[in-house]
Amino acid sequence: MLMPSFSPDLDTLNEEAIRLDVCQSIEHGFFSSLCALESGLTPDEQRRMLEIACDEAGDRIGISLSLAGESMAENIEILEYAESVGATHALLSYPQNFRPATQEDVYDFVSTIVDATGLGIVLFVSDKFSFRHLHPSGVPFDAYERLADLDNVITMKLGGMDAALILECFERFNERLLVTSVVFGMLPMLVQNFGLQWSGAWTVEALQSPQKPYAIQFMQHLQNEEIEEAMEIYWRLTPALTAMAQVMAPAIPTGTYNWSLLKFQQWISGGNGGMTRQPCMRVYQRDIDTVRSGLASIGIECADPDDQFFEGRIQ
Amino acid sequence: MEKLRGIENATMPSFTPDMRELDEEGIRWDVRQAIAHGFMSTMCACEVGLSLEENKRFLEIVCNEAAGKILVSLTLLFDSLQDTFEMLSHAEKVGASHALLAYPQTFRPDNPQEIVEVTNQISESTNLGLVMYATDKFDFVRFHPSHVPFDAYDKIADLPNVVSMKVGFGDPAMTFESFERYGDRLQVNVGTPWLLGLFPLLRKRYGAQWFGGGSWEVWQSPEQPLLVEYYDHVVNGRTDRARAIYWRIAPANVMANRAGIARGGDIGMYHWPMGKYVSWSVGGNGGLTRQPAMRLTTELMQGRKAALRAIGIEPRENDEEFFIGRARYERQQAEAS
Repeated sequence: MLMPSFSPDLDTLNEEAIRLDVCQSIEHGFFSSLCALESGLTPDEQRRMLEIACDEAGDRIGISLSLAGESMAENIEILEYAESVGATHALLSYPQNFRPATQEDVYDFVSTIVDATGLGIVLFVSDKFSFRHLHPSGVPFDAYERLADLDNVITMKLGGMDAALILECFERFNERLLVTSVVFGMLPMLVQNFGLQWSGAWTVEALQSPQKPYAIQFMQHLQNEEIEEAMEIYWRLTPALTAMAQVMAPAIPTGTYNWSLLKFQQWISGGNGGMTRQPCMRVYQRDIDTVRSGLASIGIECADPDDQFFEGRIQ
Repeated sequence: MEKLRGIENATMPSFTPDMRELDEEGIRWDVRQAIAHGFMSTMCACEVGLSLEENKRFLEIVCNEAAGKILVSLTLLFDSLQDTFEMLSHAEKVGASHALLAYPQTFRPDNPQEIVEVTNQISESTNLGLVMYATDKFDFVRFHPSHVPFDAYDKIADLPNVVSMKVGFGDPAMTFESFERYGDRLQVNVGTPWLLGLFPLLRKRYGAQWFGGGSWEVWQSPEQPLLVEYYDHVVNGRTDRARAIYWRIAPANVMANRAGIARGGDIGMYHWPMGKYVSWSVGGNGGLTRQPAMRLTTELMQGRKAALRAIGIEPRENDEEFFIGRARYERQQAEAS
């Protein structure tokens, strides 16, 4: 994940800091970074952030974006721009006021976006869209079945915890799309049974540092069918995973994220840090202590004072 | 092990209104309910505040009522190992079939080997089938970050009368590791609501064939045994029908996970009055349990009824009946008329 960084008064984007975070993602060993454009930017700033990220990434890692525009027109505009600056793919989302009456409405909305771009599109399964009136799982399966057949729909991100939902999506779509889950503990069985090959996008920095890239090693072992080695790493990093789950839990049912807290998790291992704009959830001392302690127990410590996070490394 | 095929619910004791005595009639009512639900076994929850003698009587009543119709198991959650041995011996005599391995709350082993030694003693003391228990209740996290002391359980799994393993909390990596390690030797089960959705995969890959003792009434009534039907469809490879039922009962998951008997699952015990309310709302005896007891709030009761309606089951309405106990209430009504 790539969240924006700002000047101390939060008035302007901090280009140098954004570049630092892109370089950090490369150092961590990630193959791609998702620009979280819904974290409080104007349309112009969203473009600028995307441009900086793509420029810094070059051909070293992929850059994707979340399609969290307030309207279809905004999404199509940002997609056009994203293509022009070299982004690789985009995570489908829906405007807050999108209230489809039928699955056909979902299909029409998404297919219009898909037709408007040459970028790869990631179908997103998430509670935040409130689609339960279309299917009890919250997944508009009929619409997604058709969308999965469109040429540039390439993957599917499962944002939920329900095991049946995860299983059904893999069984339905995995032959056509590269389906993935953010439930870290499910990755072993998903690799073993469905050949899952990527996980994203989430704050993987909560589990590793560039010097100790545990999550990356875990994935590599799974890909190589070295289950025992993978599980050994998994259990080693469990204290950090537990800490991550604990601090992130309050925001999960809200339909958005605590962007600043995610930035804190990145700051520990060298990311820029810094708070995001209002409306903004707070980073409490109790969360700082939990994250620090979880990472310290797997050997990842940060000697820098907490205050530096609130300013950002590069100011 | 072959008999462990289907769903096992939990039977909790019922009491007289002053809580002083067991309510035999109420306990028998609940066993008949378990049979009517289509469960293949019922697990006596022995950690609900009974004396050793009362636990023996409780188990005896359940076994007597169940005889030849469903299996009966018990939880080995007692205050001392001595009680465990004594209950196991009694359980064999009265016809129980298996027991859920557990350790007294005072058991604080220094190393995994101590777990093996104690479990060896338990195993040698009985001919009953034993079910190894993956749970976070025992605070074994100091031996392994998953809470499951795998070094010890690797050895325990080889004991001759250890036949199964209950996966009792919803950690996907621990689930994976447990099935991978023991799936070829033991009948590893679905022992927590989170695994319901994963059952088709666990069935296909590991041959999972039973749901271990739990408050499975959350998702069904005897008249609409939706969970039993889900189980049957999965076991028989009818994926589409299984999915259709799963998504029908999914609205009740929220209650099971957040406001059900587990109350979040991290406090080391269960909300027994809520467990009994869940069971009563679809026909069970009901009634509160002894102190120390968690409180049954109006919100919990209303939430349960709303969850049932959301999955198309009409709950029992009269809460007064719950507090008295269904069997007793019906008798009082009959006497009054």
